[in-house]
Amino acid sequence: MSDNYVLSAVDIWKSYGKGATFLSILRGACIEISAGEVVSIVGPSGSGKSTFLHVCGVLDPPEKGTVSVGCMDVWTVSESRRAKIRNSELGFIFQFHHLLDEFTMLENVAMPSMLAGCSRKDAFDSAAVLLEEVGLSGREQHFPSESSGGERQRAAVARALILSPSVVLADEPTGNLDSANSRIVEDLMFELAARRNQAFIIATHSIELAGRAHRCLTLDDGILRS
Amino acid sequence: MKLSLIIRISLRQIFSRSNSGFVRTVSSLSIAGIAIGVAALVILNSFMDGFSGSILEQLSAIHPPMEIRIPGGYAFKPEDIRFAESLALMSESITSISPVLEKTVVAAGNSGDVAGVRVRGVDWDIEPSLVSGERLSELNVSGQGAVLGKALSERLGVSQGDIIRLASTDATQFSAMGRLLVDTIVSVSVSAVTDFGIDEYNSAIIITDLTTASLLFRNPIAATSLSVGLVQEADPVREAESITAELRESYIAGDSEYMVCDAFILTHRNLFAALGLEKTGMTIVLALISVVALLNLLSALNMIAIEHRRDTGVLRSMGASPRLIISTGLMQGGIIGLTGALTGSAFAVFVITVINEFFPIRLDSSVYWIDLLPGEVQPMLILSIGFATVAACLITSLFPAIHAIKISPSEAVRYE
Ligand SMILES: Nc1ncnc2c1ncn2[C@@H]1O[C@H](COP(=O)(O)OP(=O)(O)OP(=O)(O)O)[C@@H](O)[C@H]1O
Ligand SMILES: [Mg+2]
Repeated sequence: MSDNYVLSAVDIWKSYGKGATFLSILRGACIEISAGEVVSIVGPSGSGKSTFLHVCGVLDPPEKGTVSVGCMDVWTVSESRRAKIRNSELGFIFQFHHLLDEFTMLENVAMPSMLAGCSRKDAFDSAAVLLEEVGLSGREQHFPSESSGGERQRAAVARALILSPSVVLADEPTGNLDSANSRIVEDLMFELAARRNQAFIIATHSIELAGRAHRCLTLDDGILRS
Repeated sequence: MKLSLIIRISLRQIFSRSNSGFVRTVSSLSIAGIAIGVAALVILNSFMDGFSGSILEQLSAIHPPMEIRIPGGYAFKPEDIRFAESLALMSESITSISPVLEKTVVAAGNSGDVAGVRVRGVDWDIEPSLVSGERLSELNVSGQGAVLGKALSERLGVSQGDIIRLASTDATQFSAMGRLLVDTIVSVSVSAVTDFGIDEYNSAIIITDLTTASLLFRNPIAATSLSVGLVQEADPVREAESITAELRESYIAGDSEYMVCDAFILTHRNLFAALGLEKTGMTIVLALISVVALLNLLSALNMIAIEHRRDTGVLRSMGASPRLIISTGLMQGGIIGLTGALTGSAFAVFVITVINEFFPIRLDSSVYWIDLLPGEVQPMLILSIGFATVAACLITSLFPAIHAIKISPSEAVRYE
């Protein structure tokens, strides 16, 4: 069944705390993404969008339910296997760029390649191409602290895409940007999605961004509805 | 391939540019702490070893490497010497055997003062070449005569060419009042006044020829002990053990006592044991400095790990394996340890060299036997201290490294 999907999450349950602080966040959320599809997830703050993305992104195990990337049930394989899946099949874009401060923009974008074991030169070459695609050529040797918020977020997009993952999980990618920069990053994502046939799951508060997606899901009461 | 990435990540995190260099300061301080610990250990051990080394050198400038004696202080008869010679000369590493006559006597010179001294009669032709130092051999003495230290010559008021009289007392004759004391007086001229390097030797030893020494004994004896010469490479302790074993084996029951062979180092073993104990004690105290340095390293590594908690989460979200995260933590400990060990060793070598060259440490030779404390730069010692330091740093860094992979990446990336 999951053969056609690059990522599917079925009946995901997740809660936090116990006793007085018990919070049931996800209660049977499901999602299925095909190649090249852009899906947005909206929902009130605290509804569990980030939690859901972390479960789908193999960062956080669900209490119940299965997450499959390609045909692999990711929570039944070894941790080193999961590390490989995160590396080659998944890309993450966070609300706050989360670039590594001590590395240049070029090194940041090249990092997933280097973690995959590519040579430094190959990694840098493809990172430079991608940096140009996101409009950051000439910025390779700058550190994140020497760049603007929009530039950092564009570098983060490039980093998520460098190994051409099956699906990119973006958690409020424009949540921390002004409207002009939001616009640039949004355009970038949709353009890359179309050009590279790249699947995206985007959690956002922006109605505009959500509306541009192929499919918009609402996370409400622990369940995703269309 | 991954190793270079691990090293790069480790280095960037240790000398982090962010936080206006706070992490970098903490890292540098922990490198400095380790360097100080290493330097203290190296300097201490170098001077302690230099101390015992130069005492050993001074002692072996007058003592042959091994001596054969008969337990109980019995004298050698000529056949005993022949027996020992026939046996010992079978060993390839033994170069010579020569008789020694030793006795405690009272010496008088030109001053009114007398002194109790140890007279050591040796074969001038052989004995000087046995000792590793050059003190006896460079004097070039032959025939009858005595060599004594500066302090003794001053006390007795004699110099080269003067006569010393040696009064030797024996309790040999029986009488109605018990054993009688009989004095023998021997005159000998001073061939040379020298500096034996050790205060006690300078003030209480006279080295003379065998003929003169034999006059001190009422009943002529062949030797009180035999000095044994060894080739340079041989280990005196091992050699002495094997000769003792052979002497015991070849001993034919008779009226001669059986002989033992002592390595000179072992006859002074209490001295070197005391020096060794002192070194151990001080090493333990200084090793505590290194323990403090390791605790300091632990808190620095923890700080680096906390500062990079989010980065670790992000790295894991990009596919860094737990092994890579642990390796990075260990690498950080290793880098700090190695840098500290290298700078500490370099600093120690520098300090030792400067002290030896420009600020030599003078000692009161009447207290310490020697008057100059030399620092010995020993590559093996530095290597082993450095190796132990890096190993300790790696073990220390294991704790923050293991802690780092226990943090859930999902929580780590929620950090802003
Ligand atoms: N480690 C945790 N322990 C306890 N509760 C947690 C933990 N992490 C998240 N939560 C709770 O889970 C709920 C969902 O959090 P989540 O971050 O997924 O929400 P979100 O939909 O992404 O919100 P926002 O739009 O504000 O980012 C929140 O109420 C949060 O307080
Ligand atoms: Mg969120």
